[in-house]
Amino acid sequence: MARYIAQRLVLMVITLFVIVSVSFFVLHSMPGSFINDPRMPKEVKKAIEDKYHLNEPLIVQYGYFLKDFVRLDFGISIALQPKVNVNKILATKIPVSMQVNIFSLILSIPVGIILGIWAALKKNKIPDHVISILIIAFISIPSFVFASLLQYFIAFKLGWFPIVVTTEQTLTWSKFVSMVLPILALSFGSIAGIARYTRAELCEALNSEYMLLAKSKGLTQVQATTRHAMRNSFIPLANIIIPMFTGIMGGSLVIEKIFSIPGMGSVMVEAINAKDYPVAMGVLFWYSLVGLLTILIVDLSYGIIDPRIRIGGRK
Amino acid sequence: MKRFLLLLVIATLLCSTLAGCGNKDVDSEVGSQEVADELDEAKENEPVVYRTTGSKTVTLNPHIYQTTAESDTMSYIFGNLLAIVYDEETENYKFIGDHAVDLPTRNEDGTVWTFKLREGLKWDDGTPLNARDYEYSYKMLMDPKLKNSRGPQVFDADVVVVNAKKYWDGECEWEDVGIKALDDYTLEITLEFPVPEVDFYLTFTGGGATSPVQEKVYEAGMNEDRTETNYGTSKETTPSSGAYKLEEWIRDQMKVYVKNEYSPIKDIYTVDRVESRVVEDENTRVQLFENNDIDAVGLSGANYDKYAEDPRLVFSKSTTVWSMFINMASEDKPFLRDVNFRKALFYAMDRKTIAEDIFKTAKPAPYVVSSFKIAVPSKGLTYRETEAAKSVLPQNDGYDLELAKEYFDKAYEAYGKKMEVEIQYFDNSENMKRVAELLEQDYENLFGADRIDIQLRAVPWNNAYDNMEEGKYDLGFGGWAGGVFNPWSSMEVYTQGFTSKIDQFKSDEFDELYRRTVKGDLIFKEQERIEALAKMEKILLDEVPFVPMYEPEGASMYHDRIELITKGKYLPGVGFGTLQSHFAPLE
Repeated sequence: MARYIAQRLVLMVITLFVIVSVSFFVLHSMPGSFINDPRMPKEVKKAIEDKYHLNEPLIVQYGYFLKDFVRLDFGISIALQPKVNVNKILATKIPVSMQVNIFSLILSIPVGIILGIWAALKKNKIPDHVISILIIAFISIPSFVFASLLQYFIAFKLGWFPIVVTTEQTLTWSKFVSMVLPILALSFGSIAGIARYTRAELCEALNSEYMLLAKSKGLTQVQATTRHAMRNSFIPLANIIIPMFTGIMGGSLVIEKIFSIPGMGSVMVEAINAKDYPVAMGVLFWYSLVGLLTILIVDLSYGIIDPRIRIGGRK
Repeated sequence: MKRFLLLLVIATLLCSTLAGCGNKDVDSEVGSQEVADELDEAKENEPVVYRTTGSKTVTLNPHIYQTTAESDTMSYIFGNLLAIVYDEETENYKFIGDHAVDLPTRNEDGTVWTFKLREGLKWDDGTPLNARDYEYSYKMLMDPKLKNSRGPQVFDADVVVVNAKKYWDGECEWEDVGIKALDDYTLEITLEFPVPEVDFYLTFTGGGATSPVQEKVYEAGMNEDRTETNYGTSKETTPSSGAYKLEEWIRDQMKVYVKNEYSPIKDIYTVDRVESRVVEDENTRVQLFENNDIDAVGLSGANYDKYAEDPRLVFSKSTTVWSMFINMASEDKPFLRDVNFRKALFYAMDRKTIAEDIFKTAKPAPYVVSSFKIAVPSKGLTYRETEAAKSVLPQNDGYDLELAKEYFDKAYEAYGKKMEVEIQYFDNSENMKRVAELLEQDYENLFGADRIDIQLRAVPWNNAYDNMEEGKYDLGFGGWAGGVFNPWSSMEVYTQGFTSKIDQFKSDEFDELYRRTVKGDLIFKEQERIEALAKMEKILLDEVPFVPMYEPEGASMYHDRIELITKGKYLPGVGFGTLQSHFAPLE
């Protein structure tokens, strides 16, 4: 197991390096400049770009980048928050998005699993049909539509919640109340995803022969379901639930905009649009790292959830 | 026991209710009157709060700021030598001394200007502020290592300070630059060529690049090789010197400004506290406005339609005239070089539909110089109000289909075959796409689809400008803003020497008129200068390197409790004068 993890970690470092390198060249090959003042004299623009080595050959710029990158220093932002260290920008933005995402996760996983189990147990009955319709609606309608509807009807028309998230920096009750609508808007899609997966896996497990065997050995339907069917059906669920945990650092572009949450949602897009290479590279690196770690954790989790699965085992 | 307790509670409630009923009529009337009076008094004494929304602020370093959101903030918290305010007597804008005692004096030929600063000026933290701080600030603005993007403001703008560019390039010493603090209260600025008073005033008016920076904070934030400073990146690194000080700044979320007790001009403003929230979604802003959470909101599209008849609507003006540029030097498509073809496009453009049906709040503009630009600053007279400007205006907003067909026939005859032409529009603008579609339809219908074929292409806005600069386009939308008080210097973008030129127009006569009106003999000759501008505009309208389309106006709505001091009129330099307006207390 340790050898397997070590191998995967080495592969991960190589993959990460490739991702970062390719991203560097792609981003720096995009036309345009981070200076968007069209009236700025050409020689002034060039002088400012020279300060950041942006007119030097790409390979030379890559050398400068690697020199700082080995210390995990992405430098300072040149457009999004000029003169502010990239890691500092991320360190202030990520917790804001995490705050909302954690609550969304806390809501999505149990509700999604419960609805999925309920639909599976009541397969082809009214609860199953109702849940399935809701799942289709939640999956097919984009979350920003829910966000807009919730904001308009629940916050604006009924006045039950604030229209935008409050500005308190710590988590107070009023802050939490103002976060309810974005949490709900973020959760609908996840709930639907988990419920659909759970229902499908559980339905298959409930029809398996080992369930018949369990019941013939004297277990009740509830015992057989909880002890055998659910455990087996949860293995594929790790595929979607674990990435949800690691994905809490990301933000939703549109939902954060609608509810005025100053989180990570727009950072990547804005950094690319503004040609803020240091920020774009910083975000890409950290997100790629989290993504690769997630894949590793998911793979390792199979063995933990079901000991019959041996990871990295040899004949 | 439970019943007993219940009875006890009911009895207690009854007793307290009855006890409160004694002398009800008299007491309650007197009491409510007193309470109302106290409330009114309390409301009168409450600070006046203006609640607004804005966009993200990327920096508050005055030497590198870029966006309107930043200049808005700087107008609150950064003072300058002069300020521009609304003058109730003249019902127009007025320049006053802010950190300077009064307006500057100048030598005879208008190249050396002297400011006298007030004594006892202070930053919001109590640190003294004087002429030497100004000199330090300008030195940093032009610092050759920092290479601040706002440096060109004193060497590539209306005002050109002696040797400023050389210092920025690292080719001379600071002592050679035409900015000197003669003593703690006297600042002398020497220019390379004389400029009209208003241009000089504006360079040193309001929060922005020429506002002072606090030396100790600027230096403390400097890196080892002195190429970067973290000045203006947080509340702690942003000292205030304006009428307001920054009380709170949560990045990308909100800012709070309160009156700066040390500001010499703070009493001009009626608002004590400004609360600005970052809300990027327009629908959310409108809901906040309707919910009485904010005091003003900008409207566009469907939100504008909803309030189109609302008496609270006011309109801000723009210095930009959006146009359709024509690659008049195209080698692939020689018909674009034919002025008859370009005139055909000019006269066949339905500007009214573009302005009123597509952009809703815009107005048709068959001219080059925006109707907001001032030609006679002393009277507040706009260029478009002058006789010279009226004389170059085409009739019927430049919409004449017969004339357009006449010109097109000539161009078609000269070219001899079907003309294929492409319009590039910004991919992020639905309205621009609609304009392109309308033009495609109108031109093909009028000139005949068998004679002209219009293709459309969506391009990111910055790439669109790059294409135009490089001449890799047929037709494309674009627009230049420019100083509201100096329509002449805005003409620089059409001269041959302009480095970021997006049109292909070249005229020695035009360049000479530009030189004479901006740096030459016409600077102080008011009428001749205006006539020269009209001549420049006429040259452009005759040559048609671009087809002017529309002039945007921004629709906004203010809460009932605000009585705008300008009575809804949008004035150069002061806008609606919101911070000087009368605010009824918040309910």
